[in-house]
Formats: sequence, structure tokens, C-alpha cells
Amino acid sequence: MAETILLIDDDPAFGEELAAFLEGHGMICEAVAEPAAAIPRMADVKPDLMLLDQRLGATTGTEILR
Amino acid sequence: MNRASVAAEAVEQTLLRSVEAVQGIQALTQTRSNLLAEGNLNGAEAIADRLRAIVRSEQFGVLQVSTIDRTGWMSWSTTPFKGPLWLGDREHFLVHKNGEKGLHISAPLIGRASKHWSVQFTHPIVDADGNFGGVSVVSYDPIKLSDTLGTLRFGEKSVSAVLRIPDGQLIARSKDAEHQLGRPNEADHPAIIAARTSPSGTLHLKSIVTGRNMLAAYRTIGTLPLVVVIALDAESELADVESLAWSVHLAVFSAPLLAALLLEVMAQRLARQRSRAELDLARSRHDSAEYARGHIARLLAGLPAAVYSATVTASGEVRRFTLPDNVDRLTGWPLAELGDRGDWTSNVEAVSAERWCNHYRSVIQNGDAAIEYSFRRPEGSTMWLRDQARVLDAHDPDNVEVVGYISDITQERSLHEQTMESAKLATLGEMAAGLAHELNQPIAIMSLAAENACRTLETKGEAGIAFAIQRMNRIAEQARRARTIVDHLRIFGRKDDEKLGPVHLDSVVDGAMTLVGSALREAGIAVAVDVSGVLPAVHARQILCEQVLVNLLLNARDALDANEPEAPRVVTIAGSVGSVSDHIILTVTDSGPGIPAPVLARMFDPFFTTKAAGKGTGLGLSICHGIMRSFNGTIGAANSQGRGAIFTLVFPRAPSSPTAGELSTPEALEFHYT
Repeated sequence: MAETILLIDDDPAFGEELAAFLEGHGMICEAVAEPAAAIPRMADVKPDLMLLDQRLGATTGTEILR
Repeated sequence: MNRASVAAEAVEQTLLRSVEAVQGIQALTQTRSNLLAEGNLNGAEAIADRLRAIVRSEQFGVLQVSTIDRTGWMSWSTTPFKGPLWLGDREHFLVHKNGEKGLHISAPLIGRASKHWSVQFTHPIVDADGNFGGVSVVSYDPIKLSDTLGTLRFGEKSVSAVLRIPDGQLIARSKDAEHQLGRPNEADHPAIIAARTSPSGTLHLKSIVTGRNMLAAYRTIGTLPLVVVIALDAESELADVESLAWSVHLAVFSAPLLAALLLEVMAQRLARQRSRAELDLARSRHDSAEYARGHIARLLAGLPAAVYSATVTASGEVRRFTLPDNVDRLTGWPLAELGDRGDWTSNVEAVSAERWCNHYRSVIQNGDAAIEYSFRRPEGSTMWLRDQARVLDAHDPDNVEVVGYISDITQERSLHEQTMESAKLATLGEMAAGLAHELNQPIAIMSLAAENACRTLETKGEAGIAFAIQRMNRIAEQARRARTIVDHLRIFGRKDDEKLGPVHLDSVVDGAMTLVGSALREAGIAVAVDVSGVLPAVHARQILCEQVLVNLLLNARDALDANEPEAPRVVTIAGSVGSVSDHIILTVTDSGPGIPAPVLARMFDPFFTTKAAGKGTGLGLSICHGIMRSFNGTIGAANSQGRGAIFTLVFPRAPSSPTAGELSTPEALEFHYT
């Protein structure tokens, strides 16, 4: 079973390309551009790894981590 | 109010001009230091060249400009110096090292090498983190200043002096300066004591040099730690013209001659209109006005200014135009060559007859108005003049009496233009860090997309083409994104000499956000924009508008740095049509701690700086003020009712809009900041 990665970055173009890149390397990856959607998606996706951008408009990656 | 007060006011204006020039020079040294820190050696050298040119031309009485590094060693000077020079024990270094953030004026000293008197005007240089980074030193010639005071003398036995607040140190004196400059300071000088309670007033003094009784007026110089004292011999003061007092109060601009002229014109009117008894009275007033005028004319003859009187019709046409004898000192043209109005206007560039009419109509409507224009001198060169006019008497609408004050603002403008350009360079430097991030993002996406396309084509062959094409499109889109940023940067850095035209504020906001959006995001600030695309266009210049907005946004970011961590970090940009529909309003509101009242009162003064401004050049807001003025607009600041500061930009609506036909800025009022 491949590792699942949840990727949160407010630049959708960047999120999509990075997700495609990681999938090209055999991982399952979902990109989320809306920080508010990150927590609910986490419950569904149950990722092995989360990649959080630090600067996310009004909030930060550290904030979501907490 | 007596003659001494009038003189003190004139001296204050002269000194303010010199000191503002000094502070402009200090702002240039700060910019040079910023550019050096960023590794922009060409920019730093360009500023060094300008400073050397200022010293060479002996403008403003500046002898030398130098900088001291944070450890006390001289780091640069307009005059070559030998070997390492340690100044870390000097008063003017220590005072800033110990926390003085504003202008410091040192006691006059005789130079070890030059054997000449000099006064050091110093200001701290701040580094990129806003900490003490050294001292900017402008050496000023107190003898030259004293000579100027000497030419402004107001009678045989008068004497004028400039003292430092609060210790009464003598900085310049109209007589015997060479010897008096070395005398001990007088913290208990009556003018120093009086200046604590009131910025200007009159005093009775006994000269410490001659022991004579003197009547004196003192006046603090703007917001500087300086007071000018003008003492007149008591006897000569008794011959003063009582009636001069009220007339001076009527003059809004500091032209004493204007007051005398006013009195003279009133006397002439009385002579024409009143009874015999009043005529006699008027004549005696006229005589005394003449007497005062003689003194004041001598005082003003040395200043780069001329006062004229004129009569104007209701439609703004000039019927009579009388220039003073000293107009040749201002313009180089003898009075005989400027005999009528046409002689004057033929030398004025780019002001049409219609614009002149508009100007004087606005003088009549508003009571006063100013126009700036370039003026040809006899030898063919041009100078910049500011022509301020004021209504004296509007009883007869077809013969409105007007007085005007024309001053030479060529140096002021050239210095302003230099600082504008330097400030723009400095703003660019401030934005550079954020821009690096802004450019890195599309580059990272392009690199990922290219790799994804290659991999797909390699592993899936033809089946991967559709996916690869999407990646290629993404690369093109991100390349455009990067180009937009670079284009904006290029436009912003370019010298801007275009004319005013219609500008849409929504595109101004887009442009400014392209430049500083990432810097704000990086600081964790949310920007809310409420600027509708259907807002009428304003009469302005796109790049300058962006420069103003960039400055305000970077200021807002710095203000929010002072917030507690949990406080909201929000900046709101909103556009609207003003209550006067000719005005379009743009506000920038932040959720920072607001602006302290003392700062609020002075923040748009040229070269006023605060600690918070230490991150930049400290010139931002005065530049914004200058830019908004060039649009015939305004900039204002206040604390909003909730929390934070609110900056309000008022723009004139673009003339193409239906109601704003007459609002177009006269060409001569356009400031060609480059």
C-alpha cells in the first residue's frame, strides 16, 4: 500500500504540480488549497504525512499543526 | 508685534530653508547606507556623487558631508581624509549612540585641520534591522549663516543670534561671530527660558556684550532645537510703526514687505475715498508705512523673493501689475525690462492666458492661491518660481486688489527631485526580499511541471501527451506570472516623466499588490480589497499612485509588527466617491496600534522621522505627500475608531468624467518628479 500524503498550499498551481510529482514517484497525494478545508480532509484521507506550507494567507502551517 | 518680531519671522524662514536642505542631505546619506548594505555599489556611488556636487557648489553653507560607522570610525566623507579617523569620543557621535533619534546640532568648533568654524548637524543612520548603524554628519558654516544674519540687520545697533535649545549655545551671530562663537553657553538666556513656555514672543534684554538695553523678539525655528533672537536698540525701536502690527497678522505668508504693502495700499485707498481729516491721518500712516517699508525692503532685498501688487478683474484678467525694484535680484531682469504684465508672462513657460485667468479666479474665490512655473532668465537658463497671491480688497469686483509673493524654488525642487529618486531606490530595496519569494514560486512550479511532463512522456509515451500539454500550459501561465512581476518592477524603477492622465484605482491596487503582496503575506497579514472597477478614473499617474500605495502598505506592515501576537493582522484598502463628487477617495486601514498624537501632528512634514521609520529612509510619507500634492490631491492620517490607523488619499476625478471638466490641473502645477 502506497503512502498517502496530504499537501496544503494556498497556491493551487504549486499544490497540483507537487502532487503530480509525488504521484509520479508512486505516492498517493491530495493537494488542498483552502487552509480551512485541511482539518476535515485529514479525517477522510488519514494521511501518513502532511506537507504544510508555513504562510497560508491569514493562517500559518504551524497553526494548523496545533 | 514689533519690527524685531517681523525680522525674527523672516530669519526663521531663511533658517528653515537651510536646515531642511541639511536634513535632505542626511536622508541621502541614509539611502546611500541602505544601498551599500544591499550591495548596490552603483546606487551608493551615484548618491555620493550628488553629495560631493552639493559640497562643491557651496550650496546652503554646507562644508562637508561624512558618515561615521557604528563603532565610531569615519567611514566616508565628501572631502578625502587620510587614514583611519576615530570620532567615537565626539559629542555628536555619542549623543546618537546613546539613543538620540532626531537631529542633533553640535556646538561650533574650530576644525583641527581647516582652522575654520563649523557646526555639525548630525542624524543617526539606521541599519536594516532598525538599529543604530552610525551617524550622518553635515558640517555647516556658522560664519556664512552669521553673515546672512548680518545682511538681515534691522538698524544700526541691532544684533541677531541663533541659540541652541536647551543650553543656550551660540550657533550664529550677526556681528563679531568669529570671536563670539567660542563664548560659554547660556542656559539661562532669557530667550531660552521664554521659549520653554511660548514658541515666540518679545523680551527686554541687556546685551551681554555692550551692556545696552535692547528690545528683542525671539522665535523657535519650526520644530528644531534652535531659537533666533533679534535685539534692537531700545531707542530705534521706539520709532517703530505701531500700525504695522495688525497688518502683519493679516499676512498669511511670511513676507513682511507684504504687510507694508498692504498698509500702503490701504492708505492710498483712504486717500482716495475719505474726508480731509481722514486724509491727513492716512498720510501720516502712509509716511510711517514708507518708513517701515524702507527697512523691510532692505531686509527682503537679500532674499530670493519679490512682492508685487496687482489689480484683477472678476474673470481673472490682470489689469495692473507692479513689480518691486529688487525683482532683478530674483530673476536677473532689470525692472525696466519687466515694465508690463506681458513682459512677465512672455518669460513664463507653459502657462497659457486661460490658465493665468483660472489662477487669479481661484485667488479671488479662495482668498489666496499659488502657482508654480518655470521662468526664463536673461541669459537663457530657466528657474522655478512659486507665485503666491492673496486678495487685499475685493469690494470692486472688477478691480480686485491682489498682492503676490514670488520666490525662487529652483534649489528646493532639485533637492526634492533627488530625494524622490533616492527614496524610490530605497523602496525598491525594501521590496527586494519579498520579490525574491514572489519570483521563486512560479519558478518552482515551472520546474516541477517540466519534470512531471518529462516523466509522463517517458513512462506513458503517447498516452501521456494530454497530461504533458497541461503541464506545458501551466509553464506558460507561470512564466506570464513571473513576467508581470518583473514588468512592474521595471516600471516602478523607471524615471517617470509622463503627464497626468486618467488612472483606475483598481489597477493601482493590483499593481501595488504585485509588488508587496508577498511581503504582506510573509508577515502573516490578510489584505481585504474593496475597490470597485466601476469607480470613476482619477486624474493622476499610475506609477506614482502605486508608489504611494506601496509606501502605505509597507508602513502598515511595520505598524502591525507592534501588535501582540493574538491581535488581528488585517489591512483594508477601500475606494469610494467623496461627498464632493469631484473627489475619489482611497483609504488604507490597518489593525495596528494606531499613531501616537505627537507623530500624527507632524508625520507628513518633510524629513520628519520616527523610530518606526528606521526600517526605511524615513522619507516615505513626505514623498507620498509630495506625490498627492502633484495630483492636486491630499493625503491624511487619523486613528480609526476601533483600532489602528487610517490613511485617506483624496484624488481629483479625471477630467474626462462628466462633472470634472474644470478640475484639470494647470500644466504649470504639475510637478515633474523624476
